[in-house]
Amino acid sequence: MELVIDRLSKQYGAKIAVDRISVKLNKGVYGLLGANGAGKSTLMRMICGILKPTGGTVTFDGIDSDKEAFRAILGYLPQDFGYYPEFSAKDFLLYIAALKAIPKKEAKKRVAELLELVGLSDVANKKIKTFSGGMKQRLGIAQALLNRPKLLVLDEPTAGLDPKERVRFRNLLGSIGKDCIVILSTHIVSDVEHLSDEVMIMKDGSFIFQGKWNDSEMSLEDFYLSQFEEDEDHE
Amino acid sequence: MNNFGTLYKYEVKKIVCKKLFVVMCVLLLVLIALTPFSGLFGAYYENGEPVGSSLDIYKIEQSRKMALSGRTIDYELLKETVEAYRQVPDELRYTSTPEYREYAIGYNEIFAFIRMSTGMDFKAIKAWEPDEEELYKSRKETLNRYFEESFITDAELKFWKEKNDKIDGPFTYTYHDAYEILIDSFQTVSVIVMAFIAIVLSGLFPNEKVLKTDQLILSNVLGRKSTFEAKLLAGITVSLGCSLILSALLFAECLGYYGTQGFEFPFIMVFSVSAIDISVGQACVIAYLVLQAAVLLWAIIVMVMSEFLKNGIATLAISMVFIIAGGMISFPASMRAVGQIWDWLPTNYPAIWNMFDERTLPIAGKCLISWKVVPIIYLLVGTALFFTGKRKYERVSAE
Repeated sequence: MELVIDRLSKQYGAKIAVDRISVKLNKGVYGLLGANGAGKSTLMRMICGILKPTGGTVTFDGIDSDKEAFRAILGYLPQDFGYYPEFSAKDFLLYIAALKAIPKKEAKKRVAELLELVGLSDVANKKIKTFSGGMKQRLGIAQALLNRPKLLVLDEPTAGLDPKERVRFRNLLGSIGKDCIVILSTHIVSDVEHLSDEVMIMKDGSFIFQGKWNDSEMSLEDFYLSQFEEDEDHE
Repeated sequence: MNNFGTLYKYEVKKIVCKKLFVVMCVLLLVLIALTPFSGLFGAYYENGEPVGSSLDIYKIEQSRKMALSGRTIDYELLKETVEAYRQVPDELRYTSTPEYREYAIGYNEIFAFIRMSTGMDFKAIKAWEPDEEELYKSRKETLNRYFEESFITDAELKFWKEKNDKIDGPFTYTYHDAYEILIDSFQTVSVIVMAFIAIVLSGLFPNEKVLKTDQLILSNVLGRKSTFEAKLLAGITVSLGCSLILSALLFAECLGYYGTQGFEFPFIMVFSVSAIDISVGQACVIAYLVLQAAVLLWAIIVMVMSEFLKNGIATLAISMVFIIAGGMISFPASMRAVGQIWDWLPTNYPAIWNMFDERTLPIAGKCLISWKVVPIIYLLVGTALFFTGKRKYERVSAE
C-alpha cells in the first residue's frame, strides 16, 4: 500500500498554491499542518483527484488519481462538508453509499454500523438541517468511511467537534489508521501530536517539515508557532 | 449501471424536496385549474352596462351551439346565420349589443368561418346572398392565395395546394367547445410549463457547488460516471411528469365541464390558415403530445446550460429571456430560415400557429410537416446535448 505524490503543483495565475510536492506515504496516519492559505486543501483535493493539478501526479499502488479504481479506495471529508438539508442522515449516507457503488443490501448494513459508530443512530431519520455543527461533522466522517477506504483524506475533521467528540474521533482514527493511509489536515497541533505517525508541515505551498517529530529541544507546537512569528517578523 | 436506480431516486428527491418546487407546483395547479374557465368569470357588458354574468351568457351560447350541433353547413344554415347577423347593428363592438345576444350568439363560429373563407367584412356578409358552393370554393381560393403570399418554396406551395384541394365541403357543424378551449389554452400551458422547468432545473448542477456537495460527489466512484445520467433523467422525469399531469388536468377539466362532443369537428374551421385535414380533437392530441417532446428538449437544454455556466441564476435569466422573447419577437415571413429556426425552438414551437403552419422541412424533394418532424429533431438535438453535457461533466474540476 503506497501513495506516491510526484512533483505535484497547482498554480492559479501568478500564485503558486502547491509547489512541486513529492512524497511517498505508506500505511499510517499523517498529520498535515499549516496556516490558512498554506495550500493544504488544494493539496488534498488534488490527492483525491477532484482538482486537476497544473503538474505532477498522484498514484495509489500505481493507479492514477483520475481513475475510477482510485476513487474506489478513497474516503474523503472536504473542509467545508456539504450536505442536503432536506435529507435525513440515513438517506444521505445511503446516497453516498450508492455513489461509492456499494450494493444496496450491504449499504443499509454499513450505514447502520456507521451511524452507531459516530453516535447518530438516534437521529438517523432526522433531517440534517436540524443537526448541530458537531453532528454534521460526525456525519461527514461516517460518509468518508462507508467504503472501508484504503486511503482516507480528512480535511479539518475535528473542526466543530467538542472535546468529548474529539477524543472519540481520535480513538476511531487510531484503529482505522492501522489498516490504511490516513491524511488529515488541521490547525490544531495537539490533534496531530496525538494521532499522527508522521507530520507534514506546509507553508507557501511547500513542505517545510516532513517526518516523525522527535526534536526534544522544541515541541511541535513551538516549532509551528515559530513559523508564524517568522512571517510576522518579515512583515 | 451500478446503483443507477438508487442514484436516480435521490436525484429526484433533491429536486422535489425543495420548498421552491412545492410552491411552484401549487401555483401551477391553481393556474391550470382556472385557465379553462377564465372566460366565465366576471360580468357581461352590453353597451357599457353589465347585463349578467359571463357564465350566464356562456350558458346561452352553449345551448344554442348544442342545438346547431350535427347540422351540415349548407345553404339552410348559412342563410340562418346571415339572417341572424342582419339583426345585429353595424357597430365596431357589435358583440356587445343586445341584438347580438338575442339573435346571433351561437352562430358566431359559422359566421367566423364565412368571414375567414370569403374574406368579407361584417357589412358584406350581412348583404351576402348565401351560396354554399361559392363558400367552399372561396375557402380553397382564399387559403391558396394565403399560401402564395407566405414566402414558401414552390414545392411547399404545390404540396399545400394539393392538400387543400382535397378538402371538400360541406362540413358538419358540431359543438366542440372543450377542444376549442384546449387549443386556446395551449400556449398558456406551454409557457407555464417551460417557465416551471427553467425555475426548477436551472440550479440542478450549480446547486451542488453552492451546497459544497460537488467535492463529495466527484470523489466517489460513480460521481463522474452515473451522476450526470441520474441527474438528467431525474430532471426529465420531473419536467415530463409535471407537463403530463398539467396536460391531463386540463383535458379532464375541459372534457368534464364542456363535454366530449366535437372531437371530429374539422380543424380547418378552427384554424383556417391550415390545409391539414385533421379533426379538432386530433389537433389537441397532437399539440399536447408535441408539447411533451418540447418539454423533454427544454429540460435537457436548461440542465446542460446550467452545467456549462455553473451558475443557477445566469441559467434562469437566459432561460426566461428565451421564454419571454418567444412571445414578443416574431420574424417576418420573408426571413424564412431565421424565422423558422426561431419558431421551432422548444420554447416557441408549442403554439398552434407554429405547429400547424405552412412551413415544412423540405428533404429530398419531400415536404415534411412540422409537427411530424420537429419531435424527431428534438430527440436528436437532445441526444447530442446529452453527450456534450456528459463530456463536460466528466472533465469537471473542483476549482
